[in-house]
Amino acid sequence: MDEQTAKQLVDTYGDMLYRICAVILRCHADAEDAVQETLLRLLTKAPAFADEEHRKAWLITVAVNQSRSLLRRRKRLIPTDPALLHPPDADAEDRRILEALMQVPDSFRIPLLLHYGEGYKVREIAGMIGKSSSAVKMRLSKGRRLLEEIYRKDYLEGSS
Amino acid sequence: MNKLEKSVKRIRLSEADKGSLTQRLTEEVPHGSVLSRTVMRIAACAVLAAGVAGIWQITKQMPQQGPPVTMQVPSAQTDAAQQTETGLTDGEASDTAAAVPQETAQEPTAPAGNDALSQPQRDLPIATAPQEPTAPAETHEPGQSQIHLPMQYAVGTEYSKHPYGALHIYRDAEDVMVRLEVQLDAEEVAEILDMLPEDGDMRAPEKTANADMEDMVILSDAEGQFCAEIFQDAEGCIRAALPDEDGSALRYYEVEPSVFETIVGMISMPTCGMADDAASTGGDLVTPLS
Repeated sequence: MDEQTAKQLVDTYGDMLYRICAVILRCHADAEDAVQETLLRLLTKAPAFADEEHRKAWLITVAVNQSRSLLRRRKRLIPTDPALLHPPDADAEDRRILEALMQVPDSFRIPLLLHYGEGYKVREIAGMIGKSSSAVKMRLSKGRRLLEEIYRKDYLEGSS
Repeated sequence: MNKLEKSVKRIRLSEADKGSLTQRLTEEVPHGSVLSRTVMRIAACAVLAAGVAGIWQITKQMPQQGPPVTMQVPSAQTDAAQQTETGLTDGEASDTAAAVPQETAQEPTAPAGNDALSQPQRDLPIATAPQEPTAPAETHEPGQSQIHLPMQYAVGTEYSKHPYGALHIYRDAEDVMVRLEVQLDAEEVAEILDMLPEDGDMRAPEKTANADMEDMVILSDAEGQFCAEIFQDAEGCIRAALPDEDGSALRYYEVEPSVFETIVGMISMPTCGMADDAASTGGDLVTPLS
């Protein structure tokens, strides 16, 4: 394929897909692989999309599942890649929030990311991750609680 | 939560990463590849159709006997080959058929026309002693292998739904065996697999015939892909059977009772979405033996 098309795809979707894969996989290299695989799927399968939103939702679904698939193949838990916790223009608070987020279990982290990070509604997330709306709501609610607990424990109570 | 959005948005690809990603995509997708893949798909469909027709012919000629069964354990390579038109794969919301545990009858080894064998299976006094669980079979095709299950699995007659997934009840030579086939999502399966020990054994232990329901658990992911089987062996030891890395054979692991209880606890949790999954699929997560 021509470089211009590839560049356009990476510029349009690269950051969003990388964010999703990185938060799920907690590893820069794996996240890059998952993004590459997701974009390759788009290029090679060439499915017909109703509109831009449809294409984006498809890409997110593939990215989430690609990342889960990589997670499943991992034999051991790996620590979070420090590069992900310290993005170039992040302040101290951003880092603390990211650290706390990475400690939330996967099943809660993914809905949290899609809802609060990418702005998707509960129903849309349910379609993307293959769960019922009520299950997504439950995970969001529990995820928020877990995130808050971790953040408080690690930073607010820890510093007092 | 606005802070969460702001913090998460900080995670992005660097310009150098974007450049190398663009480069890799350019190299990976040569011109015309979409067309050639389409041609390949059409050819694969034709081969598949011919295969199905052949199997149908064989099935029609089979006498009604308890056949040996095989369980397909797709490997990583097979997973890739099974990607669908939608581009969805392992663990994705796709139209891929639930693949495993998939039990298919094979051509019988006994001579056709035997009166006893031509009786309906349900009415048969099971004279055949249960076979020893066989060792993992050799690979038949690249990327896919068949694992022969003991004969006792082949005489299953009953099937019912269960809140966690599909419940299979099997009758063997001596007793009734109950098997719970559970569908979990990828994280839940990963979490369970993480709890299992690392040192596996290629030798298949003898399974106990009168296990309780929770002593025989088949784990599969949201796509129905076989992930693990947990059971009690003849000595009362809890074992897990997992496909090895290339999916060509099963490897057996000893599971601590406390770990097993944790796993069963996870499966039973209403929060893990099992009830929803089972209800939405009507329990048809696996194909019942008939």
